[in-house]
Amino acid sequence: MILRQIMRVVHPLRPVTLQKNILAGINGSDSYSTEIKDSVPQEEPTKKNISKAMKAYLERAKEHEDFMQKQREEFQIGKRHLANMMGEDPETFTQDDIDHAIEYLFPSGLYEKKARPLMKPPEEVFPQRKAAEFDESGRPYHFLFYTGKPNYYQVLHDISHHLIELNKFEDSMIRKKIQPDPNLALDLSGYQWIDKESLEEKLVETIGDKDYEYFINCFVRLTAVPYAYKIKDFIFEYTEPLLNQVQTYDAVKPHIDSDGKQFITVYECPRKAARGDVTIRFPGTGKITINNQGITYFEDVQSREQLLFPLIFTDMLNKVDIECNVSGGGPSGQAGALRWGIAWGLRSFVDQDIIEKMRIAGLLTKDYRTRERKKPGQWGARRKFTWKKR
Amino acid sequence: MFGITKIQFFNSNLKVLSTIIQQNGMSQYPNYYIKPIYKKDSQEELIKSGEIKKLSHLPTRAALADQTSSFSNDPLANLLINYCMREGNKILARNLVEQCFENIKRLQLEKYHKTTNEEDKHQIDLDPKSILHKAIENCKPILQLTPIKRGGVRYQVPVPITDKKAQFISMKWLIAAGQEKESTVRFNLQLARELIDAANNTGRVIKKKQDLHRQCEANRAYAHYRWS
Amino acid sequence: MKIFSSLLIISRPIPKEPVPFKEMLPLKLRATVSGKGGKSSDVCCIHEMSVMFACFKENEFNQDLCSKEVEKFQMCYKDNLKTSKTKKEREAKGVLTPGEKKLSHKQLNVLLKKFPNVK
Repeated sequence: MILRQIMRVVHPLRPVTLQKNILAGINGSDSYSTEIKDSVPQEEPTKKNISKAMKAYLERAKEHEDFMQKQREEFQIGKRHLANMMGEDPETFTQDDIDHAIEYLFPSGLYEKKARPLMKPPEEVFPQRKAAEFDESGRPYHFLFYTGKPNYYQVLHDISHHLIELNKFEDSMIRKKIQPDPNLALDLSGYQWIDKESLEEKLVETIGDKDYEYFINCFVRLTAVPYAYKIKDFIFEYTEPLLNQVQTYDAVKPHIDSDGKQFITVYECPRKAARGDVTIRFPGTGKITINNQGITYFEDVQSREQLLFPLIFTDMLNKVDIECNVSGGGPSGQAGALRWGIAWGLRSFVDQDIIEKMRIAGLLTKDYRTRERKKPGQWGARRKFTWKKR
Repeated sequence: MFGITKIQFFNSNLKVLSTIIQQNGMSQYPNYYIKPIYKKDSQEELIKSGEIKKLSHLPTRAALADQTSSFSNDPLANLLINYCMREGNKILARNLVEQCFENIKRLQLEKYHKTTNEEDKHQIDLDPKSILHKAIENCKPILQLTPIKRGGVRYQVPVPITDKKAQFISMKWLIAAGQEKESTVRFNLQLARELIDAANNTGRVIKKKQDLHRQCEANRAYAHYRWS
Repeated sequence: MKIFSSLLIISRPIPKEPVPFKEMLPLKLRATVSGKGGKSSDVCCIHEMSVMFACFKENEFNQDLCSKEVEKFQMCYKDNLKTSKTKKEREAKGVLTPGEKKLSHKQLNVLLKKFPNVK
């Protein structure tokens, strides 16, 4: 128990030297003897026990730590120089400001964003390494060091500990005949579990696929417990939020034209080879103009229905006026482009929940599908020539 | 599309999400994009059941060119149009199917006005869409015959069939029956007649389905053997 | 000529029974099972099918009168599809389930690794 308490205090990633008297207590020297012995100095045997390999390891750990410290200092100095160069206040110069400054001073035309010049804190640039995992006597700091993946197994250990505690709590609540509050229940619908690479980065250890699967299964089991909300913070450390779709649909405020009507123009409406732009005016009478023609610009009924789809869905059929210009592609491509444009523009005149409904109806997604190219040695994109055995 | 490179889904929800996420290797969308729910009443059902929460974190595909939220849009009718289409001529296919529905209405109205009995009048279905649904439902086979090669001989073994496949076969049979006609008769008229007959559980397509069932029954011995 | 000469020169002696056993390869079983070999076809719902056919014969293939049997058959097939899908996923990974009679080669290899041959 004492050992465990001591090990809990020690962080696995930071080296800490234990005090001599605690060491003495653990090594069990001289505490219970009645005879008076000459006090043996503790430092000599420890110095003799260090092997060359351990020495080299400790040296490397110290070197890395010194290197990181130097990099941090250089980064701070560099940041202040950059702030001065840009004419900003060095005290309130954030990482975003650094990014903008570097983009301005070192413009790059490279397509790969990771290949462009960057200036980030050294923790993000250099891969994290563990500090010395054991002290000079060779005794490891982490109680799970000999598993080979102490941080990974530490998490699993914590999960099992929480499971035991929560089960005990649940038992006590059942004895008192109290049900768990459904309002407090843990809701993980907007989150996904941390992926393998991020977990490896977080733990500073490499884990296999099976270990990762087991890790996820353990967490799933933990979240299935009714009182899991009590360890919400622990669980959320290992989750990442799923993309919140609603945030990607912040509608633009409509402009006001000379008549006092609200209007909005959506440019660059794409669908296959067609390109168009749509102007929606509110309040309107339901007029639709395409390339200075009415809806009869489209000869087939399906294309006309496509134009009306977003209007019918949002009940704005006779409440807005629509002017569009479209060129390129064929009738269905042009109709698809305009449908997207109308739906995108209507967001500004409609509530947030209807925007969400439009998104689920597939009106707000740009259809980037294009005709698949024909490949050599085949008839078309997929159809192959007749297979002949000889 | 919106900066998503990779999404994983945790195992506890995979059973639920697998019903929503369609695995399609040939689609130009990434496979975690869900199919859109474009009808207002279907969306309202989801809101009631509370399933819409799960969809709020999943990206959606764009609605197809023949999908609208209008009351006149029917997914089965759209499928029929696609199966009738040749060489991408959607306009002709849609015209044929719409004419077919008009013919169904005319034929049913004729029957309706001819019958004098009130009870019989109520029996006659005047809605072409519901006739289409009934016809497809009645023509769905329950089993299919698959050729299995054992000891150099190809046996036709009766094997159960999935619902989607059964629907596809039924629609193909209906269209094929519509094409088997005299040269003076139009395809849309013949198809209308076939659909009405199938909805009343009579006609060529129902006979074809029953012949298939009879053959399956005759070959049921082959299914009894434990194929290893 | 050739035949006469072969009668005289006995290059290879004719084996006399009993033939003495020669150990060419080590007499040991491998600790793995290969994944080759034909897969068994899924045979299912035969009982439901025969019940359904019996009903069909009675009612002259009128589906409306046999709706219960037809539904049972279809439900049996749906359940079978689900279980076979999960089973295949588990087999592909090599995960073992207690009480399973037919194991895939991956599952067998997992077991064989756990209980290897005594050397």
